[in-house]
Amino acid sequence: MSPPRERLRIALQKSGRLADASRDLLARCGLKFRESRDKLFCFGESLAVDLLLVRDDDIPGLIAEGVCDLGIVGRNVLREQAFAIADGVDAAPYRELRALGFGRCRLALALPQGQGYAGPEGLAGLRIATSYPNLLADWLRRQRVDARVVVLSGSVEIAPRLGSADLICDLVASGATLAANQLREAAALLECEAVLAGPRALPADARGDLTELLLRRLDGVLQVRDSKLVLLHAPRAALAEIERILPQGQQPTVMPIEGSEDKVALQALCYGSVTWQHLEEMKRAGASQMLVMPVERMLI
Amino acid sequence: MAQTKARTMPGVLELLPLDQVAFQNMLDTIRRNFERYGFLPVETPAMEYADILLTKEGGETERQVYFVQSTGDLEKGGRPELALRFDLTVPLARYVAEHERELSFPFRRYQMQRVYRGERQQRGRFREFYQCDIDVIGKDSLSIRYDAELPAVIHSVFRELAIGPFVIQLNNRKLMRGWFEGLGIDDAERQTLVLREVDKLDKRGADAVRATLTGPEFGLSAETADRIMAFVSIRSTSLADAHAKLDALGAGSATFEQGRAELKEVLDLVKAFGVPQSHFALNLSIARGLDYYTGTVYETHLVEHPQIGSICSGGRYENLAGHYTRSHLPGVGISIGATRLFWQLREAGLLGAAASTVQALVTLMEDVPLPACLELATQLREAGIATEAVLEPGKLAKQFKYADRAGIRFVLVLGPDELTKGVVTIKDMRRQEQFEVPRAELAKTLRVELEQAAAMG
Repeated sequence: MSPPRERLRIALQKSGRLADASRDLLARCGLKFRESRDKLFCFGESLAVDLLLVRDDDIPGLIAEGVCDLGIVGRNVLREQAFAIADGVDAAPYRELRALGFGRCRLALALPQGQGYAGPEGLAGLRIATSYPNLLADWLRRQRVDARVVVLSGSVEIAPRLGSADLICDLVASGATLAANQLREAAALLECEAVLAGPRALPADARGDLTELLLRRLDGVLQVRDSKLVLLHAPRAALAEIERILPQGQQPTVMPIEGSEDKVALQALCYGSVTWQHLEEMKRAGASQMLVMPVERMLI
Repeated sequence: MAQTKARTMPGVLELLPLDQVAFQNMLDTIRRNFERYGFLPVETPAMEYADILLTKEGGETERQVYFVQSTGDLEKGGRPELALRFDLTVPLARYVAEHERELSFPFRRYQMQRVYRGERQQRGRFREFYQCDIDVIGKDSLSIRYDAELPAVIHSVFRELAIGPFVIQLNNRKLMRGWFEGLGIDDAERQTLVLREVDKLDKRGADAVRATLTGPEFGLSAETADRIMAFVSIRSTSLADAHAKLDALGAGSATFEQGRAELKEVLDLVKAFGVPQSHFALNLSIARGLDYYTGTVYETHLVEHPQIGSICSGGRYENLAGHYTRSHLPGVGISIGATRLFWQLREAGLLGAAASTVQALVTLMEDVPLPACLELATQLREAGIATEAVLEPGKLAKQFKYADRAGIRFVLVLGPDELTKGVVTIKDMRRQEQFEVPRAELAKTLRVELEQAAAMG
């Protein structure tokens, strides 16, 4: 019987893999909070945005029930819960508003080392241990494979050694846990990362405006975070090819190099990550003295 | 001194403060939603002239009117010329007739006041109770579209009250009368009697109603009674289903066809007003006992608590104030019996006592100057925190006990130590924890705890 809410409520993981990075991201968006004594609630002092710190499994439900307006949660949890709350991802009362780029991992099948993987068909009749039974069952259904899903709430990686499963389906980040348990990754089911989730339609009241404001700030923060400044030397003739290779960004600045007729210096702001592969391709095109630098702040 | 036993008459709902807070929260929610739909407030006096109230139109309720007389008049042996209102519709009619020239039409008013009825003494029957009414009154005519707006308001009220799933049920008197005409019951009086009988379906059960219809009082044939019973058993499960079931009734008299067309339009518009199909339905047994309804009629039922009956009812009337003015004033209205609803929700365990509206208690110790504590209370009040200050010093344990019984969660202690250190000790009565906060941080710290309580319960 509460009156209409004017403050936006975001559910965050209380502790764990995403907790610190989530808080850090909101701080970069200019949100300042005062913590409650039990540290389970943060009152927004700079904007009417409060945080509820909860178990990450509870976040999708809190959004579905309207207790919280937004939540930062792993895509794996969001999608897994969509099967418990509704009839799958498309029917869930919430959606992914932004991918946040941290907490990257994948939900993958892993087999005991030494066993070959012959594609999904080879899984028929096998027992697969997982904490993500809905996502796994959905994937198996789509692959039209009949395998048995063994639900474990944790320590999935030891199931094959204990003999309770033939293989596992679990989150894999570095692969160290798999290696320690003599398992190897066979196939990825879902690429995961932290996401900002919200209802299908934003609230029509002040909370909707706050959400939009937050999304704008978030987009700015995410863009800066992923942006790189690239400096390099290149033959003037290779400029077109190098600009093609560079990830999308601002129009590069090209400057002459004193005493060199043919070579120029290039400075480019790129929005995506600049990988080794990019650098190698540019080197083949004639670039040299390449530097990739993080961007602290940006005002374009 | 001779003492009179403290007591109240049966049929009144008198609450302890925390229950009263819960009741007021309910009234606030109702008011907020009425205003959200653009209805304006009106209040009328509890007493009206008896001849205004007793128009012979209120049926049963007019026999339950309380008369009012001053002691002076009583001693002189005069007859009472005043009476307590028994609903809000009759005073509305008088109000609109009296202020007709000053009002703009369509006139949309809400009214939330107590009414009085001499109900016989029975558990759950109230002699004094709140009604929360909205009505739209037109001059000369009023579009049927307003009949669809009221369910939208009611949906918004009950959604926010969060008392579980509910269904607003609709019917149309013209459709019913037309159906009776088709069965050869032409006389309007007789139709009314059948309507009233059908209205008792929930209370008496289908068999008893059928028996009465075929009995000596009505003398209907078994076949006619069966057709009436079949008609009133019709319910819809969706908007499309409602249309299909209305279409399946076949052709009928002009009144019947008008009723069907109205009902179909209203149902379509209720959806257009944004009410989900799960929350409204056709129910052809809804008749409403009152005679003045002429078209659309409504009831609202809680899906999980059918025994509660209708929690909100109303309908369309052709002419509101025929007794007081020549103007033709059609209208449509709906009413929530808030006292009965509150009582029933509490009986059904759907409502508990609310939290106290007092958010903080500032205690007072013997060796601390009162002004220091008053200053603390002022500091909190200026930060918008509802604060009570203890004015008579006493043992802290006793003050804590007081806060506990009064349901005040945060108790502030300002002792000599705290004064020297520039801090305040806060005792959280719910968690049974105690902590110190610097004076400068006090209001902000408390605000966070209060917001958390509001957010997480």
